[in-house]
Amino acid sequence: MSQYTQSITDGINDGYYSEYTDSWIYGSQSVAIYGKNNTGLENYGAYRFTNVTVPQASVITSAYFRFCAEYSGAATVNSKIYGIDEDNTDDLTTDPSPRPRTTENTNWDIGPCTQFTEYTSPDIKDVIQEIVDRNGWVSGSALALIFQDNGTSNDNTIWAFALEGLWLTATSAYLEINFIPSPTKNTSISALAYIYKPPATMALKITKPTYQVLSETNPANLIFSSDYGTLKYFASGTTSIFIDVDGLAVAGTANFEHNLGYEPYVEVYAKRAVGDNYEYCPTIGTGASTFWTITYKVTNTHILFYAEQAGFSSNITFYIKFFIFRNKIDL
Amino acid sequence: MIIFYKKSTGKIIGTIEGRIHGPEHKNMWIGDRKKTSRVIYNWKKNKRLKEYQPDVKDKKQMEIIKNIDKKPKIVYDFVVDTNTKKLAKKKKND
Repeated sequence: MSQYTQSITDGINDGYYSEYTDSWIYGSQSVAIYGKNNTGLENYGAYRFTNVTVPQASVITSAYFRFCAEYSGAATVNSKIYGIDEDNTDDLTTDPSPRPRTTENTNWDIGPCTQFTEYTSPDIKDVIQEIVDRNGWVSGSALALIFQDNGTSNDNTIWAFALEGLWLTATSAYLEINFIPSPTKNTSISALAYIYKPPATMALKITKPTYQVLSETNPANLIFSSDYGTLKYFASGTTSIFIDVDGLAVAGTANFEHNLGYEPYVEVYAKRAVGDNYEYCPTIGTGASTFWTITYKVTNTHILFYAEQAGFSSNITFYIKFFIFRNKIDL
Repeated sequence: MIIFYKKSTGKIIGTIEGRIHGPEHKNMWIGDRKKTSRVIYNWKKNKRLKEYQPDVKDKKQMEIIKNIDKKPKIVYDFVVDTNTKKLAKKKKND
């Protein structure tokens, strides 16, 4: 959750329409939030907030406007708060009422007020949401609020301290926006996953939460790494063990030199004849009067295959198929 | 594919499967290094045909390697000619 807050700090950013002078007034000591004179002529105020650091399409969870009452009195007004529906609205040195307004608005019945007391509006998140949803809205733009009638009776006006009129405990108008930022649009990968290019091929590394994917190398902190630390198919091959039964041999060996520098996880399969199915090793087999077994041993540099037979009357060849998986872990 | 064979007879004693063999595969060996040798067949993209094929100039060898790639177990039906280092169909007495 993120928050934007700002108080009015420049007199060009608050103003009101005065029915008395029939003109727009800014830079004065007070602002009419809203009101009507005894003949029904309106006073309406507007406030502009700059550098609104809310990214476009963020989710507005709540928003509030606050003013400080300039006078104590019995006046009550029924107002609506609209937003100025522009990407980056201009300052309030001119009357903003001709500018387009948001469809969304929020009712605010204000008063009676006590001098120097701050009054906070109802939630105006829908008004703010409509503005930041604009295609042309970018974070850092300015937005403005304008007060309009919602059934105020004549001879009721609520006045707020303007920037130039602050004294004693008076505060200037204030806007608070609480929001969930929209994802920024860029081409980078999530912080938890990173695709990088080692010399020969593409690779992928994903870290466990909170670990920095760009710098983390400890496999214990990785979910997956195509470099190491996870069981992945690496190489496969075939070989055979020939037992010279005619020469009275009972066993034979073959070896595969992997030179990986560690003992990889391997799977070895063997079969006796070309048409047979491969069997997972170590394996044993028997016939009417025959017996054979095939097994293997893995070292840092080799896979050593061993076959032994009994009862065969002629030379025999066992066919080996092996798979090597990359699982180097510097534990 | 990397094919290991006996220097003296050309008999194929083992293979490392695959179409691209990097340094780690090239560090591997089957059999006694003094008595065996190897042939390495990498695949590369034919720009004109826009497909991968064995990186050999001899068309017959290319077809043999393609067939072995489809059915790896038939590799033991061949021997390596110890002079030309080419694959040849095994004769009855091999």
